[in-house]
Amino acid sequence: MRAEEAAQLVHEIEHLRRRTRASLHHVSFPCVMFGALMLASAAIVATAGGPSVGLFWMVAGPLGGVATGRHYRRRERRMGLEGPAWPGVAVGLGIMAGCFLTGGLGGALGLETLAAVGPLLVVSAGGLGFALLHRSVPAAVVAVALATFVVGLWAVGVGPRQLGPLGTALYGATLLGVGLACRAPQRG
Amino acid sequence: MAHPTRHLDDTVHQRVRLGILAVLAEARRADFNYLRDTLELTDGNLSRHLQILEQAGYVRIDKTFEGRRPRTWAVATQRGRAALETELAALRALLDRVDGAAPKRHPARGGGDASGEPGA
Repeated sequence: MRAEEAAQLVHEIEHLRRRTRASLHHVSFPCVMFGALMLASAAIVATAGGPSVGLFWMVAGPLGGVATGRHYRRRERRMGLEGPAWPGVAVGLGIMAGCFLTGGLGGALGLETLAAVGPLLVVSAGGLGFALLHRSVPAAVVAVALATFVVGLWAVGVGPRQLGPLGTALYGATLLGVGLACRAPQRG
Repeated sequence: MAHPTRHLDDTVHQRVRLGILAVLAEARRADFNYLRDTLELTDGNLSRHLQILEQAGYVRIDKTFEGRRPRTWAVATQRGRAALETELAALRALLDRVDGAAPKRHPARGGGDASGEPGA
């Protein structure tokens, strides 16, 4: 076997693997949905405060998760290519648990910074988890950049009452933007 | 140390079968039509390659019904996934061997035989 053939074969296999991953891991739907939910959540934090946002996510989180699962299942059935479901479900459940834990603990103990920043950092950690699953460098960069920005705001002295809605709106707008940006190529 | 070609598996080494395993390695399962369209094969050609992979224990074939429509799904077995990784590792080892020999024997990368011997 000649070196050119071996190199071509390795290239073709890697291309097929990347293409299969890209077909499976389209992120438009969950990004748009959770981005919109985070923007709604930011509005609730700004107007009604922490406890209301906890109630909001207790309903919206599981519903969003189920809708995402149903979306992927329908899409994969239609396409004829099914990916492993449990890693994504595990990361999603981890994000929900982490957000309720940090937000709830922060609220219960009167630690406003933990209540405001904790869930956002958990979402970033979850984003890193998804980036790892999808082997996506851009997703990892977005997750780290958002976390860095929020920590940076906290470090320069932005208080938790502003940081909560501001950070949530920033995450929501970013997710929404990423989701909408991914829509066009995925349809094509 | 054994030459990397000794790790090439004739069943997996065939281009189409490598492609099938590459797709299945990234997914839980893929249906017949997806594989046929992605790999640009005919029904008969894909059937034959799937049969060879199934006989080797690298792929499992599941037949289901959706309503009244039959659907054929292919799933890579653990053995199939391992065979794909071994094949890729062997191919990369061959390329590394050529790269290692390149300064002395092959001025251009990939310009020689992957056995590492000039003109072999």
